[in-house]
Amino acid sequence: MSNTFILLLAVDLILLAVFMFMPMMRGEDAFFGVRVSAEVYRGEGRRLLHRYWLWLFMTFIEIEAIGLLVFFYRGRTEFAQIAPRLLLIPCVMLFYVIFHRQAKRLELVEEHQRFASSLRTRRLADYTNLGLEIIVVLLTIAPVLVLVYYYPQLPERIPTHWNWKGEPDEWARKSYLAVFSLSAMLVYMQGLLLVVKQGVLGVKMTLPAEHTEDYLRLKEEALTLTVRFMDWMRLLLCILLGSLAANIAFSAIEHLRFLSGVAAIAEWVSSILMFVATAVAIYRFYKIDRCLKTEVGRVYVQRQRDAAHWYLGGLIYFNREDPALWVEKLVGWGYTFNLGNRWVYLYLAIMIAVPVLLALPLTE
Amino acid sequence: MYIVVDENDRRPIYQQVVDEIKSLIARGQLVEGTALPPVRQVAADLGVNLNTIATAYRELQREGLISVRHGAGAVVASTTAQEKSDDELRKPLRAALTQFVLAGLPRAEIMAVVAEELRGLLKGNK
Repeated sequence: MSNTFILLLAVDLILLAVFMFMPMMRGEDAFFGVRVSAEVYRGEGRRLLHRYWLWLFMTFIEIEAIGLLVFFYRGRTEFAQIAPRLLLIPCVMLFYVIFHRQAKRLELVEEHQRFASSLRTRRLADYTNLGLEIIVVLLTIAPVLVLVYYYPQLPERIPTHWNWKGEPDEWARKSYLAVFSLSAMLVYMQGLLLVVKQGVLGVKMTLPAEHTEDYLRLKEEALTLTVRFMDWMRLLLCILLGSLAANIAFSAIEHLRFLSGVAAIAEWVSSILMFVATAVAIYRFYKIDRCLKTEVGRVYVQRQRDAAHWYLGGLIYFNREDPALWVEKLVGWGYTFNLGNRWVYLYLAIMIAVPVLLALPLTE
Repeated sequence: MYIVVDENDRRPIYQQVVDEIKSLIARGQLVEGTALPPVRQVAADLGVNLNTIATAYRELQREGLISVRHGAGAVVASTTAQEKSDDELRKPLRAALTQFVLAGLPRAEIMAVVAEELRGLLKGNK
């Protein structure tokens, strides 16, 4: 068993766990993306969930077995490593949608509801930590300055990728794009994340007319948590991508080589901290949901006519009538796009096009 | 602080928004200079058209309660509405009282309800 194999198996197991718990993350408010009554959730819903788990587990074993067979007969090829993963995602997705359809029959339809709207404006300035922003800007610009300064000294062949020990294992011919694409990517991602942060602050918040105060407080707490998590990620991203970019100069120029080790450590530390931050955020989201359940009785509130616009079992929201750009996820924590809003496509185009254009010169 | 909108209410949505904001101003919860959220935020939260909220804000502006500046958003401008004639002010009160009388409530009870509502309104102003 190679290291890669164990790593990929771990990725599959995480994927399986996500799909196992996705239908019940929001309790009866979004059981397979559908609101059901508490009795149905505990009775028929539980049986449905267990059937779903059984199917998921059987599919998982089957696909891993196929992967192992290919592995033994065809050798350790890229195909043997990638194919099972490519098969697993559509399969679990298919089962999720099939079971969502079954859950749909149990849906609890609420005809008459009253809703509220907060009169507090959520401004970017109120959610900005100036000290952190200064550090982020400095760390984003620093690698660019380093590369500009040492550009004339860089050799014709420059490293673009490093193994886990920090030794270069991929090279490219020296060019402006090859040298600056990583730091340009960092600048771009910082800009994008700032736009996303600003957008998320304007997220649609459907508030129930009862227990409004408590519900609003906890939902704003979740929003603050998301924004703070994004801030941490922006900082760690600066360290990770910044040290990777600066490492081009560090590992290519003789008298700077001692800094290469420092960059490698910074990459490791920032990667680990990213995992830690994610775990902490997940735990705190879970706690907020628990508070919502006990204090308000509802984890997720929405209009019946909005509920009809969730597709793929509550994974995709498409509503042309809705002026909101960002909405709270129905299944899982965080926020997602309203794909019915035309502005989303501008967002997505920029999101996809820029990294592709920046990554092109690296794949020589 | 929040406003509540009921889809089953006979009043149009924009009118409900106007009434809710007016009531918050009357209660002293929305003081002069408070910024109101952008039209887009309220429209998204309530799941209504942008124009509905824009109409509500225009109505409040017309009555001199808020001022809408381009770019700066809507701000509570005054806590007293533009002057209306005595008859204009009495008309909705008369209509509401008629409902109580038709519902068969005795005079004392109607008076108690009026006093209670008034107390609620004036409490925040002290």
